[in-house]
This record gives sequence, structure tokens and C-alpha cells, in this order.
Amino acid sequence: MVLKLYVAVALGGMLGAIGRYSISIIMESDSVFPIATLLVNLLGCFLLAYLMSASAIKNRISTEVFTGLTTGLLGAFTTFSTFASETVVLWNYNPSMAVVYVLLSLLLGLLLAYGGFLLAKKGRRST
Amino acid sequence: MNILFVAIGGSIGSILRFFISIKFSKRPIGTWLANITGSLLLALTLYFYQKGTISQPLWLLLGIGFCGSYTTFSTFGYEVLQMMNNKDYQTAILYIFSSILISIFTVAFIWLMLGNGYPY
Repeated sequence: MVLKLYVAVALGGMLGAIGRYSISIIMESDSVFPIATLLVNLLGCFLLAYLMSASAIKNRISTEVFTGLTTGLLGAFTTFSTFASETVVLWNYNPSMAVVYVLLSLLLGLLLAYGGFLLAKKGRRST
Repeated sequence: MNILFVAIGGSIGSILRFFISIKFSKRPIGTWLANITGSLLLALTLYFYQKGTISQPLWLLLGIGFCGSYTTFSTFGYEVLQMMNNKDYQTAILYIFSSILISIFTVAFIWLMLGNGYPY
């Protein structure tokens, strides 16, 4: 049922956006470096790769809940548009900081995604 | 009250991203398209918010809610991981560079075209 999937994605997306916004408020500081976006993006990369690779979890919950958590919640919790805007703002302020921001987001994001994937695979073997 | 605007924008953005990903049979081109068009829309929204043309509630709805959720970093990362796991390094590198460079240059281009420098 496709409509149920859309409802699940909408609900997950709502929670993800609220989570991202809350973290941005909690972590608000005078520093120009976008630490809150970096944090949500890295956390989201790890959790999404883990969930997508953890077949034990995938098999236990419905497709609706799974899609709501992955495409909805984690998809909306992380953001690419804010990352792009912040990079240009940082570049204007200090180009080397912009390069550091892009590299940290990308390299740590991929490393954490790989970590999530490995952790899920390890769980699969032991169960 | 602020959270309500973010929540509404966030659910609409997620639905649209999901719709596009289904249209493209869940291939990375859907995420690629959402990330670039969303970055473009956020650059415009942020510019007009800084100029005072866009109100705070509309910024929360459209900028933080919609654009934030319509675009995604986690799916981007997972798709790159899958390409690397499939040893398709060429596609992974093309996907990484085109996503990041096109979105960043789009934002910079829009702000330059609108004049008065950057919104900050």
C-alpha cells in the first residue's frame, strides 16, 4: 500500500526535521563553524547505514516503519542544502575552514557509514 | 510554535524526496536531483530571509523544514558506500564530486547574481 508508505515517510520526516532543528538550537554558539549540521549529518550517516544493513531489524518491522525510519526520519534529520549554503558562507569568511568542513563531512560521513555497515554485519553473524 | 513550522515543512520535503526517489526507481539520481534543487531553493530562501523579504515562520517552514528535509546527507553517504562496496569507484567519485561541487557552485552563483554579496 503506497499511501501508507507516504504517511510513514511524512511522519518520520516530521520527527527528523524537529530533531535537526532542536540540535541546532541546543548547539547554538558564536562560532561560525557549523558544528550542529556536521553532527546530525555524521550521526545520520552512521544510523542509516546500520539500519539498511541490519537484516535482523529489517525483517522484524513492517516496510512502512522501516521506510519511515530510513527515508523519512534519517533522510530528513540529515541535510545537504544547509551543508551547501554553510560551505559558501564559510568560504566567504575563511576558505580553509570551508575546505575543512567539506572534508570532515564527507570523509567522516563515509567512515561512519562504513562503521554502521560493519556493525550490522557483525550482528548478523552472531545471531 | 516554531517547531510546528519546521515539522510541517519537514514532512512535505520528505514526501517530495520519497516521490522523486520512486520516480527514479530508487537510483541515486533521485537523491542527486533533490540535493541540488534543494540547495538552490535554500540559497534563495536564505537570501530573502536575510534581506527581510521572507518572515521568520516562512523561513522555518521553507528553509529549515522543507529544504532541510527534502535534501539528505545520510542517503547520499549510504549510496556512496554501496557504490564502493560494489567496487564501482568511478561512479562513486563522480557522484561525490558532482553532488558537492554543483550544489556549492549553484549556491555561490545565486548569491553573486542577486548582488550585494553574500547574505551574511
